[in-house]
Amino acid sequence: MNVGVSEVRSQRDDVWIPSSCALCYCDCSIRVHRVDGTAIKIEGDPDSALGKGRLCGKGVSGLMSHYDPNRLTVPLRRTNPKKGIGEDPGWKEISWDEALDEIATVLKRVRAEDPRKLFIQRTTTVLAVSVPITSFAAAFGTPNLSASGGGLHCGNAAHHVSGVMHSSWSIVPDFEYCNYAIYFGASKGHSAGHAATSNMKLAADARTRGMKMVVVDPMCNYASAKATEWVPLRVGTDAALALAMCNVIVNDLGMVDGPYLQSRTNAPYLIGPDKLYVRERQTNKPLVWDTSVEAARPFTDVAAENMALEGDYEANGVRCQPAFQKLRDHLKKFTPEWGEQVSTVPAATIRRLGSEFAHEARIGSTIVVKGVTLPYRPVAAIAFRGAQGHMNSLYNFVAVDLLNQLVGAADVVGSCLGYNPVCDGHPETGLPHYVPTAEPDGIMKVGLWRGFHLPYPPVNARMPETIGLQDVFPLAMGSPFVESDDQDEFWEKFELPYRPEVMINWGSNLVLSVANRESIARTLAKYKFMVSFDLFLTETSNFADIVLPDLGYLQQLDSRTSYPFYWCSHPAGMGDWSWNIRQPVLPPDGQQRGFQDVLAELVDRIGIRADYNAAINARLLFKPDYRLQGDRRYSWEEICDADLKNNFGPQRGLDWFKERGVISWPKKPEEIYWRPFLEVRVPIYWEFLVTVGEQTAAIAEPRGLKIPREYYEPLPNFLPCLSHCCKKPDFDFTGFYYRDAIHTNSYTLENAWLDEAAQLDPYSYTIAMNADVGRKKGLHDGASVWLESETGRKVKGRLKLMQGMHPEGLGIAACAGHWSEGMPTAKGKGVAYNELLEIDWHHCSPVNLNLDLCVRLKVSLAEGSR
Amino acid sequence: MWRRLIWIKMGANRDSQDAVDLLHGKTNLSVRWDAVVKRTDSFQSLTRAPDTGTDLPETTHPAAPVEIQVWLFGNLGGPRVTNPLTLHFAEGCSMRGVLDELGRRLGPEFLRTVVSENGEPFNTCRISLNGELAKDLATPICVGTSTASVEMILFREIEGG
Repeated sequence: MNVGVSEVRSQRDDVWIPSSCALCYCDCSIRVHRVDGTAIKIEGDPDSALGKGRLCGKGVSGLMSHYDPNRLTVPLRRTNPKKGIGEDPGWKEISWDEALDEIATVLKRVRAEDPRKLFIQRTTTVLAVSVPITSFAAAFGTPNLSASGGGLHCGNAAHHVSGVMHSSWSIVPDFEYCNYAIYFGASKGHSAGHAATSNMKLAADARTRGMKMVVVDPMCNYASAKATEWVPLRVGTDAALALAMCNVIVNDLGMVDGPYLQSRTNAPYLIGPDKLYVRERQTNKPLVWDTSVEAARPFTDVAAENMALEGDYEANGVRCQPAFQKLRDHLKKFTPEWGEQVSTVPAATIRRLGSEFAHEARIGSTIVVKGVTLPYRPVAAIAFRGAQGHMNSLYNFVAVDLLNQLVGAADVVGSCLGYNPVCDGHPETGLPHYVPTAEPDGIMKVGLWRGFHLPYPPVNARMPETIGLQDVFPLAMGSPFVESDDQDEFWEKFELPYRPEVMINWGSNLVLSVANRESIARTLAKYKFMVSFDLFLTETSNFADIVLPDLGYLQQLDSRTSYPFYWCSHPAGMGDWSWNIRQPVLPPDGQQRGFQDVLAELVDRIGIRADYNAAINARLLFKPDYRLQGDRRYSWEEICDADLKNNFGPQRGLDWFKERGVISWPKKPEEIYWRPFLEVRVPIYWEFLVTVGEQTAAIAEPRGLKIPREYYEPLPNFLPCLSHCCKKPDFDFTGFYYRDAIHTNSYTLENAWLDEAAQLDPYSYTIAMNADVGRKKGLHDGASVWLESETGRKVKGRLKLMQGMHPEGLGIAACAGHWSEGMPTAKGKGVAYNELLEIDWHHCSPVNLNLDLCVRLKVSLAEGSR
Repeated sequence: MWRRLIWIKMGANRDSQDAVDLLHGKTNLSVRWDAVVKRTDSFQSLTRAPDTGTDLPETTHPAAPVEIQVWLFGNLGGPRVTNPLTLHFAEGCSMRGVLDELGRRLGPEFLRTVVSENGEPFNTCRISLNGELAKDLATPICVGTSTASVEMILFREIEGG
């Protein structure tokens, strides 16, 4: 009997059931209309801040994903041992007992030999999977997890920098009060993405109110289409534009928020000739120059208004300067003329944008929100996936966020907000409660994070235990080495003491989502045993030994779909907190089972129930009344019930939530505009990067791997991507992919309604090129063309000529290229951009292992195309 | 006139408490960023310690003998560990003392896995004391007549998204 579905009966009924969507990671609250056992409509839930009662096209189309006749309904076992693209697995149906017996036998062996040999992949689409999967991994003893393509492509810089600077997973304008937002490769509120549906209303209201929106993007896309101004720039040069704007603000205009920099950043910290903080010898605290006594003193002992931001001083016998002085001097070389040369944005535009941003920041102003007087800085510089998808992503993000920091527009009214980094909890229970704190150097540490490797302070680099080698590169989150062409070489180089043998895949389609299929296929074929939980037979599940039919989101139970609030689904800014659940609306079809139940079954068969219970207790912070005891078996329903009661009191368990779907309570200004209330600083000078670089080099260079130090400088720079360095003739385009509002990852291309919408959309399944450039090359709308990379990888697609494209840009909506017979609606649709991507050390960032996702391309007419 | 126009632009649909303090802004656009906030009750609530950790009731002197049962889970446990490990301290202890003793029994490799070079546990190492997240490693563990219970597990995954 599947947990959580015991109440769903085949009977005559006409009910609306509250739950949450999972067509993307926004987890909007929904209400599903079920009549006589069939779901006939999905709407938003107006009682929830998640979606605010609205639902996007993906959400309303969920019925088609659920009722797709190609859904898996029985466990399958491959009979053909050979794995590869185009290999028929020779599936045969097996029973759940057979499947679990075999899986448990393998896992028991692996655990006895070395639990690290187990590698778990998961999709980013369903966030709620994190708790059971990470708990299983911890109980089993493996550190090897990956969020597949979404994890590797999406956030090594974006999430890391947002964590360091805003204690959050991502950043967004404070739509309610922002007057001037500049987006760098972001679409917050205008497409898919974090809290997409909620943000759409907030962004629309902001535009109606008069917020000026400047969108910097090679393509005039979803956000640009609504913007006040679209600024096309060369792909991957966001840092150049941002740094030039910073130079204008600091050196041309001199318009910075000095008090903010003094009190809430490391701008006044003294920096020595070694690029590190000058520290007091007894306490090791960073020193600042106290202008009231003309002496260097620990930062904790000096009033902010007396901290020097500029000048040359001597402390501890060394010449030193405040970090802000270093920054000011560093920025001078990033002139608007230089910025134009790199980014192609005209120098005059750069000057104007810098001036607008600084003036609109209203430095020194205040505002009263719900009776609380707060700093008012109604500007926000936002970056996300566009600026993130490059080797130079770290500096792209640091440079963009520097704009906010310079004018004090960080987590105050109207400014750049992290997504809910502070929560004071429900009024009756005080939970969930999380607040950033300061570590000994005064620099902010997040209050809550996705996992337990925090963005700051970074751990010391060390010899690797993980197959992704993130231990050597402490700033890395997702890693290409879990699938790279050179993984064997690097595992050998870094003396990895084991090799992965078994993979558990939950819902990800890494063959499509990570890089070119050949590289990924080679990696997958190396696994001795692979289990895949899937809804469909995908290109990736065809490499599995056993495929298990999972429940879809209309069949699943989960107690926390919108939490953690700082993550992907909860809108920022004032309003309400909403914690929603997901509950079964429909029963399993055939032999489908929820993965949480399957994991629990495996836990018992392997003999790690006590470990799993302990992991759940630690992960969910269960108080003594709700802790799972010893090795007792608990159903997933019981765990969900405990989770809800643990946070909201004994009267609000699963039954209470099943009736309502969500609990909401008002946010407080102190939770949203929290920076002035906390004595935490953020780094405008990334001093720790220097030490991280030295530690990484100390491990890597004796093993023959040169670490380029320019990636580990404490102040941001523009570093070219490989595409910027290509000098081959005829390779005169730079390809990039972008998030399509109609589709989520590769999954929804199988949804018939969404596929139909995408076919009607002129861009979803085509290659967008600048119309003038295209015509000069003799190309026309609809022409079939080949795109070829420098390394000879090729994809074919149809052109869509458009004015709103940088002359060098080629934009492709991701993540297409299906060929699996198990997804017939998706098969053959769209352009498989990821086919062009190499995956190895040379194509990733040497600081955060971000894969380089922009590709220099040559375009040629396909045969038969006129 | 300009003030009224700006009021409309900035959101006349807000309630009367939300007001762009333009008057103050116009005459005093140099309000220090860090001088704006007044401390309130809400501020105290925000910065309260999270209610996820606890000390044992101090029913005995911190230096009294104490018995602690330690449960090691995941790859902290494994075949070389039989849960629970029972530790006796003749003159009381702190959580740091527990970790030191575990290091002595299980070897330096164990300690390297849970504690950084500066002696602090890695954030990836979750330690609970009597069912609650351990707050402060230096706090003495005091017991009455019951045995204190410590659980440890590692969450070492590093993943993006």
